[in-house]
Amino acid sequence: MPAFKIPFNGYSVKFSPFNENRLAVATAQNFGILGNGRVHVLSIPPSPGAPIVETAAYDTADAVYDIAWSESHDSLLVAAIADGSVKVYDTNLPPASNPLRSLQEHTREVHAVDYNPSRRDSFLTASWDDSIKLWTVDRPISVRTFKEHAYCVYAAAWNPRHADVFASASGDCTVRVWDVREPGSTMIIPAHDFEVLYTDWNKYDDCILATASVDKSIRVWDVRSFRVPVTVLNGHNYAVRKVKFSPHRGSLMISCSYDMTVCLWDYMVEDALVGRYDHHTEFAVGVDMSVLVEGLLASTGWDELVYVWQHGTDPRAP
Amino acid sequence: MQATERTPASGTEGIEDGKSAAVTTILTKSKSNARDRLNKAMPWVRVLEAAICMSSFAVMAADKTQGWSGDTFDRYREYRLSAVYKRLERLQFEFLISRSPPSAAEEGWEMSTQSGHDGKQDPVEETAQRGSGDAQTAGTETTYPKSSPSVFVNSEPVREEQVQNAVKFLSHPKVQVSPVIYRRSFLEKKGLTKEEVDQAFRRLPDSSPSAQTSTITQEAAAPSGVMASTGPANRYSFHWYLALLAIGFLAGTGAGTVIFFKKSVIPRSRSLVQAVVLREEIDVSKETHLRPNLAEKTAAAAAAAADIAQASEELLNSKLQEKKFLGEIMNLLDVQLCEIKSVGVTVKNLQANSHAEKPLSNSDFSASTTISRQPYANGKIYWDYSSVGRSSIPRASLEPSAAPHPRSYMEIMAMVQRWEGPPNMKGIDDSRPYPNQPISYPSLNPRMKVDL
Repeated sequence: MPAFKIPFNGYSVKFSPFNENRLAVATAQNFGILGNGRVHVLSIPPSPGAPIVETAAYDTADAVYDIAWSESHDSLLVAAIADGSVKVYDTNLPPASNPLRSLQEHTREVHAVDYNPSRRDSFLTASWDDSIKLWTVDRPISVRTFKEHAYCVYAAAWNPRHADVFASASGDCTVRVWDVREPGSTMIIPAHDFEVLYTDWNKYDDCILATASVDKSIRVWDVRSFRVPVTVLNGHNYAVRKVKFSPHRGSLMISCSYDMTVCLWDYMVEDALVGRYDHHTEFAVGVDMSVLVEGLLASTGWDELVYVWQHGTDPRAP
Repeated sequence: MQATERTPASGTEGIEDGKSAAVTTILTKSKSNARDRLNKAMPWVRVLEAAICMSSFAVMAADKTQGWSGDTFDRYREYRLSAVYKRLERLQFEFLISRSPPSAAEEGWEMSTQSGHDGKQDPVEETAQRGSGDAQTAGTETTYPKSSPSVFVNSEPVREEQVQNAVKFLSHPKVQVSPVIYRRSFLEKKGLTKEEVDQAFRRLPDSSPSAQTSTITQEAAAPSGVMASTGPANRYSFHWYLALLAIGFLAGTGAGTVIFFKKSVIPRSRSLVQAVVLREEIDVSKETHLRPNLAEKTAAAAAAAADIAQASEELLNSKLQEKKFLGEIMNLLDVQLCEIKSVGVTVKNLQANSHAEKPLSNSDFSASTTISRQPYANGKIYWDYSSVGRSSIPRASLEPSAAPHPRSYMEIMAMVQRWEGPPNMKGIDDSRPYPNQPISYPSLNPRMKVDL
């Protein structure tokens, strides 16, 4: 299907866990430096030839860096805003009634938001103020704040099997594993020699996680023996911005990078790079794999385009 | 004048004679009293003198920290300032700063590490075995975690070698200049666990705050009680307050001593001296062999007492001046901090999306400097950082292999750095319109997740 043109630069895409035809996009004006932002909710047509349609859009005063769908309500979205606020949107309500909530606690840009897929009632926000906050949608204030990193926290990811465990990636070059029942981090993985931009858990092996870093590599770690990575995947030419594990195949990962490519990896295989898509003309910054449709991929970048395509096909095909 | 007459003078006789007789007797008594008193007072004066000297020495000794090892990041406002500065710098030079601690610390680490600190095999195997056993139980555990150890906890024992390396690193003089949070972060980056880092901090050899408190308790008299109680409790954070307390107490004792001297001892000694001198004028012949000595002694004692008083006054004044100076410095620092905070707020509001720059840091993997991308149909041309040295963006010169940014990005960055906003920004009110709006019921139920 043809690409969807967005007015601003794209930052993140997420498939809805309830509806296989829905996609949320976080965008920011002026590359997120300074300007407004917008949250788009798109509808993917069932037939490949039809264009993508926008069903809702919400404007924000500052850039939207990340978006997450609620796991308990099919119409709720959580957006991470560059002015430090976290906004909750309801697509069932008219735009005049949105946002539903505006939670202002972080003192710097909120870079990532992740919803708990097991408990379904809480979400994490990672911010450049070195802290991660735990929230529930019904409370106006955060439940907990995790402040241990020495630099900006770029991502937080819940473990898919253990409802209270999550990992965080930070610019202080470490990945920390936390348990919300414990007062502090339970594990510190010195993942890279440079900033770690993203981390994600393996959906089939709860002890494996992958990290994406400025040093152009993706490393896969096992928390049981975290001193040495399971594997190091090189292949990108610039910093790797995101890496996500597939919800359908245990060792498959997708990554996007500042070298404008989206790559697919299988870390169990000798030659790990199994796919490479070169469709973006600017930094590829957001990528996601659909949970409900196997092989459906989405990506967005600073070239103001959103692509949705099936793995194996050409994303630019109309 | 006839001094030999010892008869009590009548009122009408030669006044001088009468006076001399009365004065003589009074002076004789007072002279002996004075001599006794002076003799008694002398050692106490000496003791006081010694005490004041020792306490001032203690104040000086309190200042003697070995490098900056006693400092912590949070106590010093100037470090807070430097933290704010560093954040501002980071907006511009993220990558360079993100490689803190500086290379001096890296040297220190390299010097102190003999072998690689990659995990030894045995603990790793142990944890792997334990981990696999726990993986089944971890998913179902709802009890307190300590009863069944979670696989997400680092269950390695504390590695002695790593702790020793860390202690060596932390004792390095260059490292001790840096704030504590960066030292901690560096050690964690090197692969030390929390327990190992904590142990290294605990084991630092020159625990100078506790050494200072011990010297203060040994030498100072009055402030010792307070110092001893506060010192061992928290050796890092009270150091500054200890010094101020010491100064305050010493100023108080100095003032007290001075007042004491001024009010009691000096007038007495002066009156004694005056009386003796007067008596000298009246009665020369008899006590000529004693009087000069006595006069000299009293004069010397008075002079010594006056000197002590002067010295303590000077000490007190200098302490007060120091206090004022310190107060001024703190005020100035506060003012600067406020200014920088406000600058930081405005910069943050207007400044670049620094994260977009942060990941675009160089790496030492490949020396790829040329960006061989052709201009695209839409006319955007990519700037090669390494070939075009844009002075307006200092990052460029530091990051040879940073990803090329689109030209419009560079334009916007330049605009922001000139404190202009981009033209297409709109004021949008995105605050929630209905604060008490309830969350709607979901129309779909979440799908049951299949446990694979």
